Amino acid sequence: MICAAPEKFSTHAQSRPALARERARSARGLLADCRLCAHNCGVNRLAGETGLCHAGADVHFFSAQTEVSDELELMPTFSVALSGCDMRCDFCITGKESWNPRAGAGFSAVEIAAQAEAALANGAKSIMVLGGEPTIHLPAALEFVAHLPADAKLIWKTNAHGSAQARGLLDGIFDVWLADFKFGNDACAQRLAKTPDYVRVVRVNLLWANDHSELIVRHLLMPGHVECCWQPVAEWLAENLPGVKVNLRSGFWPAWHARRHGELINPISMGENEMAFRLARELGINLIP
Amino acid sequence: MRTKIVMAAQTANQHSEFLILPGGKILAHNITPAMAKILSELDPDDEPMRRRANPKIISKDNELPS
Repeated sequence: MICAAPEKFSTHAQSRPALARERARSARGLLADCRLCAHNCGVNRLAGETGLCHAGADVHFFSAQTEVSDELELMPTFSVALSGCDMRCDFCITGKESWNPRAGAGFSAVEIAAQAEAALANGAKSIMVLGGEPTIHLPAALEFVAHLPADAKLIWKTNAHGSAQARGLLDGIFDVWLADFKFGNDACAQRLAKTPDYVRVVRVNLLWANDHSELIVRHLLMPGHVECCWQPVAEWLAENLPGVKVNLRSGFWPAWHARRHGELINPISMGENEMAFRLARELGINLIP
Repeated sequence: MRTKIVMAAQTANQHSEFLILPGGKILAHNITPAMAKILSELDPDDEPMRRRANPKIISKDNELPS
């Protein structure tokens, strides 16, 4: 269970790097009773305890490079992928790293920020922090921001399963929230990602993100899940976040443990793809490439 | 349809992954600028990939490709 109202952290007139540095200190202290994601484990990560994400206090990353895979309006973006995640999506395309917070190399905020700044100088338009799920590594993510230029365009790529506490720490830090809305019902979220109470948590995060930053919602079309997942997601977005930018992605491939689920053994079919985009048009969804 | 092959390309600390389907369609993620250029050259008619390979030509409205 998460609180509806984000905790309040200092927002007085500071530069973003200074604010991020202060928040990073707060966030690190909160690892002693970790409630950064909606699982609300309450473990002491500073003392070596781990919750459902299995993450301790140290941070690893598995990718840091300039990419052109993301939304056209954001790319080229320098993307930093932190290892570990609080969800367990069987179809995760980076499952090996997302399910293991110790995968990859040790993360140095200073070193990766230097790489990011060099990427900006070489034409990158934005810097993206992602995972896995970066929320579970908020102290390191904020420390990273503290070392970035104050005017860099920053993107928070998230599963939107963070807690009110996490939202409070993130307030005013990132320019764009690029948030997944993967499942349209709790049964699919539990079966495919072992995540209870999914829909309510994501809705709270999306509404908050839309009020506090620019929001782009992503939905990955999954075979056999257009009616049970995309349709309710699209209907809710149309009613509650009309006009919000939505990237409907049809590049699903059966990665990681997808084959545990019969419907996920193939890419999305052309027929389902057409059905999904037709539904988006009928609901007036603001699709972006 | 069954998937055929998954490949990862990695050079100098950069990596992309792509999946080639039996019909010849290529799915990719973590696309670097260099990989976008290669994919664009493989299929010059792929307008979205052309735009990713040449980000400076992106128009302001970023319209969805037809």
